This record gives sequence, C-alpha cells and structure tokens, in this order.
Amino acid sequence: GYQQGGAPRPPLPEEADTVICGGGLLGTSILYHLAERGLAPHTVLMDLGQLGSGVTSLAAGIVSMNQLTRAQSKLVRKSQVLFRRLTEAGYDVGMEEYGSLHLARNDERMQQYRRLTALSESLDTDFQMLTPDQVRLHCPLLRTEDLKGGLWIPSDITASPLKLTRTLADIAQQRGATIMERVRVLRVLSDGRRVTGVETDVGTIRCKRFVNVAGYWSHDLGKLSEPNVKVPVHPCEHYFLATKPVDSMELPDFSEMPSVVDPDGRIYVRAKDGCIVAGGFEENAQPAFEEMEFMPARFDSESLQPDWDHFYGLLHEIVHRVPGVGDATLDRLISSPETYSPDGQWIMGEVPELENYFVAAGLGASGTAAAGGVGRIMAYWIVEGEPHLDVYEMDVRRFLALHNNRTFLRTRIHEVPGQCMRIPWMFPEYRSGRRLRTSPIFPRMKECGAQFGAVMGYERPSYFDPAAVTVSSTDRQTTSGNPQRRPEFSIAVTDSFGKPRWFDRVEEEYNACRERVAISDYSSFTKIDLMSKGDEVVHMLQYLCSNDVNVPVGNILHTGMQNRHGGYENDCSLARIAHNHYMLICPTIQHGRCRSWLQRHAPTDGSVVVSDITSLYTALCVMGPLARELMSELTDQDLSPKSFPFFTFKEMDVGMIAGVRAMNMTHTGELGWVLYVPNEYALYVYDLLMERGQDYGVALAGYFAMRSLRVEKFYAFWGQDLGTTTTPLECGRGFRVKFNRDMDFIGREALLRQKAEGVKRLYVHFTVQEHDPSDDPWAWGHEPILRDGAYCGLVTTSAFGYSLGKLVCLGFVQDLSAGSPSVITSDYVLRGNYQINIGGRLFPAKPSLVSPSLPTKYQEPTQKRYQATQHTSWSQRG
Amino acid sequence: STARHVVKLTPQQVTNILQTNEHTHGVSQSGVVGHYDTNQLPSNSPCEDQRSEAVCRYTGDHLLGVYDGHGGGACAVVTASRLPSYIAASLLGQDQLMEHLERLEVGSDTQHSLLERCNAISVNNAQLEEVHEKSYASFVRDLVESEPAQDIGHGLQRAFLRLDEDIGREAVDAVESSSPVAVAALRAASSGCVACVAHLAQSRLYLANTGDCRAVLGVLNENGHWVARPLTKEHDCDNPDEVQRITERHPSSEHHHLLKDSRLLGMLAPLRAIGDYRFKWPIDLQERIVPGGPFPELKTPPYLTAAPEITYHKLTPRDRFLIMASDGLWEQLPASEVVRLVGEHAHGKTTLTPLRLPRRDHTLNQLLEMLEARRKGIGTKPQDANAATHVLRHALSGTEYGLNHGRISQLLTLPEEVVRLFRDDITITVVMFNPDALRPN
Repeated sequence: GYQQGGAPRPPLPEEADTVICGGGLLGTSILYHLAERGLAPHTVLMDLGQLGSGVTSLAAGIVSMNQLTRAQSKLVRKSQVLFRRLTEAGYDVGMEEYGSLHLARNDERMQQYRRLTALSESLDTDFQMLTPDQVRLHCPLLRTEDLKGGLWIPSDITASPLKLTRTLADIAQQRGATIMERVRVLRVLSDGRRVTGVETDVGTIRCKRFVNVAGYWSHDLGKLSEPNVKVPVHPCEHYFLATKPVDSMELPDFSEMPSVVDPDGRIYVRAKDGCIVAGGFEENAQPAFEEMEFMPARFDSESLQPDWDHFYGLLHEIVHRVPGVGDATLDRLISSPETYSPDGQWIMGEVPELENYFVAAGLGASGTAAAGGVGRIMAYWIVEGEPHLDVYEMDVRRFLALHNNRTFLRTRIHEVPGQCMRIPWMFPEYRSGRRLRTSPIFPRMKECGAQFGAVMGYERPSYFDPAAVTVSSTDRQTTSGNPQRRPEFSIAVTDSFGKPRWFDRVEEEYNACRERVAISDYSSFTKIDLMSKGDEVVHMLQYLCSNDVNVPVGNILHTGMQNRHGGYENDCSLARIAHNHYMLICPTIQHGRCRSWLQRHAPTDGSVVVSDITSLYTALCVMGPLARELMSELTDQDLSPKSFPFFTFKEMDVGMIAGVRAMNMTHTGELGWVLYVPNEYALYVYDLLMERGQDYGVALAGYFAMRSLRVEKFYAFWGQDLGTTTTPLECGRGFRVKFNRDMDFIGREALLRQKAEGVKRLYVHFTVQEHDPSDDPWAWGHEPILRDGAYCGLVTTSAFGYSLGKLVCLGFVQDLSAGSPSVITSDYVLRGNYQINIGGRLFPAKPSLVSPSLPTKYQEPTQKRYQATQHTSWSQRG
Repeated sequence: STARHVVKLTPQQVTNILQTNEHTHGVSQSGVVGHYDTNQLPSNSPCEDQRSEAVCRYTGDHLLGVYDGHGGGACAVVTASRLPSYIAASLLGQDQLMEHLERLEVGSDTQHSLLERCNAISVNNAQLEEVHEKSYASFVRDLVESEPAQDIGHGLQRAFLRLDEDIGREAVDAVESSSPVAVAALRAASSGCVACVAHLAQSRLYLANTGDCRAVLGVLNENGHWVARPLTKEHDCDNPDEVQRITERHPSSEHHHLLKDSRLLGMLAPLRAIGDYRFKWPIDLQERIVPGGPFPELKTPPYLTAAPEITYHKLTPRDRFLIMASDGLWEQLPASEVVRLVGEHAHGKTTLTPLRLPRRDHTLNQLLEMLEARRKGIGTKPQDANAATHVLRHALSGTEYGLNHGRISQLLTLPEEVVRLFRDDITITVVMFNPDALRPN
C-alpha cells in the first residue's frame, strides 16, 4: 500500500481530476472521502515529505464535542462517527473510548457547561454535569478541592493522528488513489479563472481541481498561483510534553483515565500508551517561524527549540491539577507548529480568486478532532460545489486582503490559540491587529466614549460609555505632563452569560432611537455598485435575486439571493439609482463572499460592471421619530412621506455639500434614513447632524442598541438568523419572492416545490416569560426551544427588548415528533406551549409570527408600519 | 597539557574589568536620541576595535561608528579619527562648505571643526596629522567644486571611498618621497579595518557598512515581544551576493583560491575593508614600496573595496534602540538574544539564556523547581546600568542557569597568548531612542 521512506515513487500521472497538496491527516481525510464517493482513481495526493511525518504522531489526539462553536461540534461528531466505523471495520486508528472530563473553577465556566448540556439533544451527544465529588469518581488522580464541578462527555474519544493518516491513505490507495511523496509543488496553473494543472519538481499534471491542505505552508502555497490565493493562516508554537512510561503502582487508575481538560488552568492531560501527554494553550502564544520571510516548506521536529520558561505556567497547572504526574519522568517537551486563522475559526471552501481551487486550513491544535468532519464536508464541497452544512463562519470567502498580510497575521496570531480555553461569552474581541479599518468619523466616536467591536477588521461602536470620556487618560509613554487628554481606543467587553455590563448604556441609546433621534455608524456594511450600458444589469440581478428588481428608479427593494436549494446565499437591499445602475447593500461579513458570488454570475462579456464601493462612502443612519425634523434642517429636500416615501432613495444636498445618497430605511424598523456620504464629506455631515441635533436631544447609538431594536421587531439578519439552508418561505419572507412573475431565478424551482409541499420549520419571535433579567441567565443564541416539553429547534439570536421589557429570542420551530422534521402550519406553531432552555433552566416563552406592536410616543399616521417578517398563513395541505 | 594556577576573580573585580571602558552619553530628553551606552572589552593588546560618537555642528545630526581593525590597529585608529569628518564635510551645504574651506585655508578650522565629538581618537603623531589635514583640505576643495551629494547615502559612500583613497595615496607619497611619516602611513594603509557608521537625522537613519560589523534595531512589536531587525549585511563568505560579486570580478582561473577557507585569498575574513592596500595596490607598485613585495596569491588586484553598503530606515515609535557592535559580540550571542537583553534591560529586568536540559532524567516536579528558580533569577535587577556592559556581561557569563561567575572569571583571566582564541575584541554601542520623539504629532 502506502509508500515507505525511500521507496521508488510512482511516475506523476499526466492528468487527474483532483490534486491534493498536503499529506497530513486532513489531506488524507479529504482523499479518503473522495474515494468514498468513488473518485479515488482520479485523485492524486502529493506531499513534500512523507505522509503523516513530523510530531503529529505525538499529539494528544483528543476528539471532544466540547468546541467553541456549534458548527465545529457538529464536524467533530462526524469525526467520531468515522473513527468508530474504522475501528469497527478492524482498522487500528489508536482509538480509545475513555470519555472526556472538563473542569470548572468558577461559576461562569459551570454556566458554559450547563448551556452545552442543554444542547445534548441537538448535538446527539450525552453531556453530564458533575459535582466536584463526581469529578473525583471519574478520575481519582485529580485535585478537586478548588473545583466548582465539571462536565462529563462519556462518548468522547481519542485517536492517533498518525495511525489515522496511514489508515485513510491505505484505504484510498486500495481504491485506486495515487499518493506521491517527496514532491514539491512549484506552481498551481490556471487560465486566470480556473485551475488547470499543477507544476511540480517531477513534472506537470493537468487537473480540474486543486486542494490546498498544506498546513502552515498553505499561506505560501497560496502565492504560487496567478492570481494569488489568500490563505490567511500563521503557525503558533503549541507546547505539550510526554512522560516516559508511568509506573502503574505509583499512579493507579491512570491507564484508563479520561482526557482531562482544565480550561481555567489552560491545560489538558491524558494517558497514552502508558505515558502521560499533557499540554496547554497559553494566553499569549509564540508565533512559530516568526522571523522567517517564508515558512519552511517542510518541518523538522528539531527546528523549534521549546522555551521552558514559556512552558512554566502550564507545567505548574498540570502538576497542580494532577499531582501524581509530578513524579513521572519527562520524555520530551514538544513545540509543535499549529496553524491558526486570524479569527480562530477553521478555514474551508472554494477560494474567491480561482474557481475549483479549494482550501482547508487553520484547524489549530484540533487537527485530529476536526479531520474526519472537515474531510467529509470538503469532499462534498469539491464534488457538489457547495457544502452540505451551513458553515459560513468557516468559509474562506470571509477574508479580506488585509487578513492575508503577514504582519497582521504575526501580530494577531499570538492571541488565537488561547481562545479554545476562553469562556465562550457572546461578542468576543481580539485586542491586537485593531484599528485597521475605520470610518472617517472614527475619531469622533472615540471621543464620545465608543466601545468598539471589530467586524471584518472594521471598527464599529458596540455602545458608548460616557464615563469613559471623563476618565483622564495617561499615555504610558508620555513623560511630560501633557494636560491635553487623548481619548483612548477602547474595546467593548461582554463577560457574562447573564445581564451584560453595558445593559444600562444600551438602554439609553435604544430609547434615543425609539423616542428622539440617534445617529449610528453603518459604514462597515458592504456596498457594491452594479452598472451596465443597457439593461444587462437588470437581467443579471433578476436571475440572482428572488425578489423582482425591476422597480421604478429611486426605489429600494429588499431581496434574497438564493442558492439552488432556495437558501440564502446573501440578503441585501438594492437601490435603483438609474435604469441601468443599482447600489447593493449587504451585511459587513458578506464583503468577500458577495463580491465573489456576483463576479461568478456576471456575464462573461464584461457587460455588467461590479464595483466595490464599500470604502468610498460613510454610512450614517439617522433614526428615530424626530429623524425627519432633524434631517429637514439639513436639506431643502421635501422629506414628507408623500414626496420621499419609505423604501425610496434620493441623491441629495446636505448642508453645503452634494451627492449624498439618502435611503429611507434603517434596517431596524425605525423611521429614518441611511445617508451614504462620500468619505470626504463625512465629518462635515456628521458634525452638522450632531450640532443641529442638539435641539432634538440627538444621541449616538451603537451596534448593540441596533441589535436590540431589530431582534425585538423580528428582523432576521443573514449569518445570524438566516443562512445558506434557510429559505424565504421558512422565515416569513415569501412575500418578497417573485413567484407570480414568469421569471427564472436561482432557487426558483426549489422554492416553488417548497411552496407546494409546505415548510418544515418556521421562524418565530419569542418573548421570554417569568425571567428576571438581573438574576437569571440570558439567552445569547443556540438555546434549545421546547414545544410541549419536546425539543423543537434552537434560538438563533436573542436580545433584550427594552420596549417589551423582556428578553426576546428569535428561532426556528420544527415538528420532530416523527423523528425527522415534518411539514408544519402556522397554527401548529401558535398552538404549542413553549419553553426555552437557558443554561438548564426552562423559561416559558410566548410565540409570535408577526412583529410585536411596540408602544411609541410618536405615531406615523400616514404610513403603514413595515414588517420585515410577514408569514403567509401556512395551513395544512394535501 | 599546560595546567596553570589561576586566581579566581572576585565578583567586584569582574565588574571593575567590565566597567573599565563603559561610557554613557546623555543626549537629550526631547530629541530622537535619548542617550548612548558604549563599552569595549579588548582581547588584542592594544585593542584593535575603535568607536566614534559625534554630533554634526551645523545640522545636529548624529554620527556613530564602530570599527574593527585587523593586521594591527593603525588603520582603525586613522579611520575612526578621520571618517566622521569626511562624512560631515561631504553632507554639508555648499555655502557652509565654502566658509569651512576659507577657514581651513587660513587655519582657523581643522579637520575636526565640523564635529562635536563625544570621544576623541588621536593618531598620536603630529606629522602624520599634518598630512591628514592636507588631504582633508583637498577633499573639501574637491567637494566645493563637485556636485553636492544626491542624498545622505551618496554622501556616506563618497566619504568612505575618499578616505580609503587618501589612506592609500598618503602611504605611496610618503614612501616615494622618503618622508618621516612613511612608516606610519604605510602601516595605516597595509593594516585594515571594517567600519559600520550610522547617520541619524531626526527619524531618518542611514547606515553605511563595510565589512563584518553589524547594526541591529531593537523593535518592540505589537505583541510586546522584542524583535531584532538587522540593518546591515556582513560582507563575508556567508553572504552569497558578496561571493558572487568577488568571483565575477576575477578570472575563473583564480576561483579555487579566491575564497579559500572562507577568507579572501585564504587570509582576510571580511570581503570589504578600508585600508588593506596589499589587496588593492597594483603588483608593480607593491614591488616598489611594500617591504617583502606583494603576496604570491595576488594576480588581479584590487580584490577589496571600501565601498559601503547603504541602508535607509525610517524610525517608528516601535524602534526602541540601535545596537552596533563588532563581530566579537555577534560571535558570542545571536542578534535576537542581544536585542532581548537590551530591551529587557531597558525595562529593568534581565533574563537568562534559554534552558537546555542536560541529558538525564528529570521528573516534572524537578523541572518545576528548576523553572521556579529561574523565575526568581528573572526578577533580579541588572547589575549594570550601562546597557552595553549588561550585554557584555551576558555574552561572557550567561548560562542556562543564570549568570555564571566562574565562566566570566575564567574568560577574563585567560593568558594573553590564548585569549584571542576564545574571544575577539568586543565593541558595543547602544543608542536608545525617545519613542515620544518618533511619534507623529
């Protein structure tokens, strides 16, 4: 089967369907899954060295369901299934089934485990909460007196990455796959649009698809094609030690000990082949190969000298937690270069730069746990052109060019490995590599005490803290007593599963939006202009959008861009600037993805010009009942609903400048306008708004207030509520689908079918009852929803509705009584008694399929209230 | 074997030796340069390294140099004493240059007038100095008549090349006219030196480097880690560009001995140098004036150039200090280590060299104890206020368990005849910057 050391190498085939570059566990897993789909004879895997060489053979290989995100847990589940199946079929993949034990030193950590335990059903995994005494029963070797408790996952396993690599490679080779070792890729060839072949040091091979799974070398490999491909990853040194075989007399019970993870001490410990393997993830990891211009294409395990002083803190925690390990003899301390992405999420998918160029990278130290699931989803993606799960947060298209900047990566990456040990509170923020993308009014926001959150590198105020303004800042570097206060850049902090520290601040901003007028910076939104000479742009958009884009000039429409299954590839607003010119606005996180979707579907003759204008305009949202009064002081434009109705657009003068694209809509359901101001006018317009706004009590509102507004009013957001598997019919947006026009568009067939057959889930607005926001745990997303006591779906997003005075959860309801989802009706949804499981406690919840009526001091008498979510009444069919 | 009785130095004696040559020049609180720390530890007697620190009178620019002589110290002394003036002159504006020339001609200026020097280097030979004055005046005259330097890099280059040319010419003239300075001038021209000079005007940093001294910038990156950024390249056989430059210049029949044993013609380690005229002068000239005649390996001179490689770097607030040192230091410690030592010295703590475990079994508890002891060591205050001395101490006595007195004592008491085998002359200059002065307003 598989090639040993110096064995002769088979000749390079002239042609293949798919070439995989990288013979680690992930590469061989993709190869194996392609073989499962019958594609082995057409697939070639190449590696610069030997398969599975290097220090991976020593890694702990813990395959645990306790992951930072739900999507990761789901992929790990697939890995567990695969490793079990291989073991049952008689392969030795070094699998051990002793479960995993996760420890908690504080209450917030316990809360994290309770929330995970609540998900047992939806993740098809048994999670059990333990008291400190129960922890000791599961592993008597542990020190437990400083623990609050723990989480026990009996079905978690460990496996040997090296044995897995060899097994998967063997199976694929038996089915006809070609594995080439000691081959160096020199160039990935393309015709500028798609991959055509691979040039190596042993010849050139033509191929239809290329898969870059070269680990930490994948970043450099990305540069070996024209155009270059962004693979934003950087290796960090991961430290772990292995002891010599432990005397079982001195350490009884240890050979069957479960994998132990103590995230508050940042460490893990497990028994492996009679030895102890223990390591950890420090808060400030050391980037590997930091001073090298290029990554070494091949890793020599001796080349990273471990820094013992750096490991001191982790060693201390290891011996503290498992005191008996202190007497074990060290075999070696290993510093292994693990590859991370700058946001800590795994990377997978087809790159935007080249068609049929796939990448999977940045799995960090979770390589073994991820490999099975990621290999499976990648093989599906490679063959079908799309993934079978919604993994948008891992999609390689999420990155911008800046993310691939080596200096940025080096700076950011030291923070990333430690993330796996953090308590997964909502809205996590990195501290390094910040202030890279800022809007022109960023300094003004900073002066007003903005607490920033970064999205796609863009600094967006999450909320404003007036107290932060009065605190005098002392620059550490300034020696002279400079009396002038420099407002400091401050990052928003959310550090609780309960009522967040910013609750009162956001309430004030919320009230300004609802009762007076507020300004919010929307500049990070993706903005794209689409133009053509004739009506080519209309044809293109008609095919891409599920709503009818042929609206009168000056109108705005909301539309989804569906995939062929009817799911949301994107959700956007389109303003028709001229008969042959549209401006598209979509979520910030869609920046790369949306451009790539448009470019791939643009006419090949270049007749439609797609230009990214995100960086040209500053977007200021002026919202609230007094927005019209304030705006009318700035412009001569008639702003009455009659001449400037809702969902229309005008290019207008503001103050003494011109060319502001004003859109009458706010994305949150408030009365107001989003002003797209050319950047050079942004400060002027902002200052004018704030100055004139004094009389109206104008306030600044951040992202958290906006989120509260939109969740309370039942507005779904792409990436948070909607994704590639959600259809408009399921989320109350059927009214925006052009069913009755005889017009083809992507996803039409699937949507028509669903319309006829009925939907199997519905998007529902819940108000949580009997919940004390001060004392009770909050819903933050991914909480199980129970209908008549039975699990029926998950919360997608949640926020405190300040008008309703209650926690609001949005989520999908299904009927799972038959084992798999059945068709449901509106009536079915409304008839149920609902509870939401927040951290193990059940809170009653009131369902609604329409936006709530919120009390307001100012009514808009002439205008019918717009509802983003309007469920057609689904009734029983057939 | 030569067992010998050595008196172990006391820690205070070690400190006294290390601090003998240390200097600190406080410069300013507001300018880019905060202060200089320098130190030198000789191994040769007399020391073949030189250093120079000076401020240009007209521009306020800083000029810092490190010079490493070989084949005797004569060339290094002459270069360290003259090169800064040549540079200052070659960067002066035409009007000021003309005034300077007028004053030179009436004797109210000397070759040192353009500089305010922190350390004076004298050739200790009045007649030779007179020759130098003449050469300098003639250089200034040529400067007045030629185009001004295109930029600072060009000015540096012109000064290096002209000084080297003058050193050679002075020797030839003196020998041929049987002048009383003939021996001294010939000694300066036939010994050699490598030179690394930094020119700092506000945040604009130029480096001119000839040979194998090194300048390294200490950068505090966004992660709070110290990163060494090399600003010069050594001109030696490990530098493929230099090897290519030299092999291209000489016929292939010479290639087999051109860089024998990683040395030029099997003799000289640096591949660029000032002086060393026995590698530069034509064969017939050498037969006339060099006692003993030319080296037999000499076929197609010149083999050597004094042309410096110029590097420009715009300082940022993250650039905290510049270290310039002769190869004696870099042989002992890698640049990353030196930068870490200086950086952490500036932060008031020292670190030890990385722990390398001896090849025997340790339990995890033993390791923990060892690491705890090291952490206590990390907390101790540095013994030396001078950053250059601090680096020197670590270069000589750093071990994985902390500073080892035995090792440094031994290195400092080696007999003269063997000391050169264990360490070269070491010269270290550390320029600390004021980060505030580098911040944009």
